[in-house]
Amino acid sequence: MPQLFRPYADTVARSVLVALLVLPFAGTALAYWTMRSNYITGETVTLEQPVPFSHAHHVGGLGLDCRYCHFGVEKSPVAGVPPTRTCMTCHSQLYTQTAMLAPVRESLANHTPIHWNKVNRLPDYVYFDHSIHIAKGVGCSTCHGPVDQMRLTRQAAPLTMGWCLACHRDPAAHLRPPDKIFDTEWHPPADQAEQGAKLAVAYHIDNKHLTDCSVCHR
Amino acid sequence: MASGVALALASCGRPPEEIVPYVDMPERLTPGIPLRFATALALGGYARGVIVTSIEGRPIKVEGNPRHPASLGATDVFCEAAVLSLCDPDRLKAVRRGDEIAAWSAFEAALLAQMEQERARHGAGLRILTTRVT
Repeated sequence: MPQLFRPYADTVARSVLVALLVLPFAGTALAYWTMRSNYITGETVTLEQPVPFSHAHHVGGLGLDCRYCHFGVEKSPVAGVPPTRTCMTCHSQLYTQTAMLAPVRESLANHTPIHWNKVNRLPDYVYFDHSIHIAKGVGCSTCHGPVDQMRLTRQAAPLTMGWCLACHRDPAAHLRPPDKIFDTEWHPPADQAEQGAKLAVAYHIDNKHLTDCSVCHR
Repeated sequence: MASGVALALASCGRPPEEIVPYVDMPERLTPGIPLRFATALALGGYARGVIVTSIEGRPIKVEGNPRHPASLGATDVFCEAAVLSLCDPDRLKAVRRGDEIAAWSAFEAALLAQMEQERARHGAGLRILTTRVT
């Protein structure tokens, strides 16, 4: 009479036991790792836009300041994207027949706005105020990356809570002098820790309450 | 535990969002910060000087204008409630003929037809209905 359990039954039983112990931890680890991956955070993902706007050409090539278009960034919580009229300040005279710019011309002609796909998205339970960051010495490229080299706009940082907190816990590592906020070429100098500490004092940044919940979750 | 892991993996990151800016932005307007206008609201034919706070073109608060000699910065109940009439969601958004939405051109055609009749009578039957005008 053959054995009820073949020789490999031992292996199966041992594997199931090991899996029972290991899989919960492995599964949890996989979930945590996935939530931090680019797939979920959207980092480095280039979104499709109605017009393939090139920051590399306009900022890097032509030297436009960020504030020419994103004019609300120094005063308002939202930086915003420019109205169609801003595009037409130049494109009523340049590239007036290009097919790529047809949506812009149609938008102006029909008085319908352009529906841009938001790249740097935050959840609705987060309150983010651009103007205070600009006022306190955080430059555009610190969070938005090398925008002047992006031929198509993408999210350059994970924008997770942990990423924000890393700076809120120690802003000195990311501060820059007030005249360099909109400088796309700025990189932290070798003595950033020392410079940053001085800047934090000059900007009146108080670390004690920067990580309070209600700063961002209002 | 397993359902928690499954749910975490199934949440697909950030939902797509759109930014829809103006085509022609009203001057001095910055999205996100309120703009205050000195204006007048009429009650019974008389204007009351008020200051209206609006965000992106939507009025949210009516306050008195301290420089107005009649109110010296105060408002009455009707002023405070006027926010609801300024931004009334029940207000018609399109031309209507009876209960159906019609085009502006249909309205103009009907109006012109009526005006032709009035022209024949030298406007004898024409009346203009307004609120109280002083």
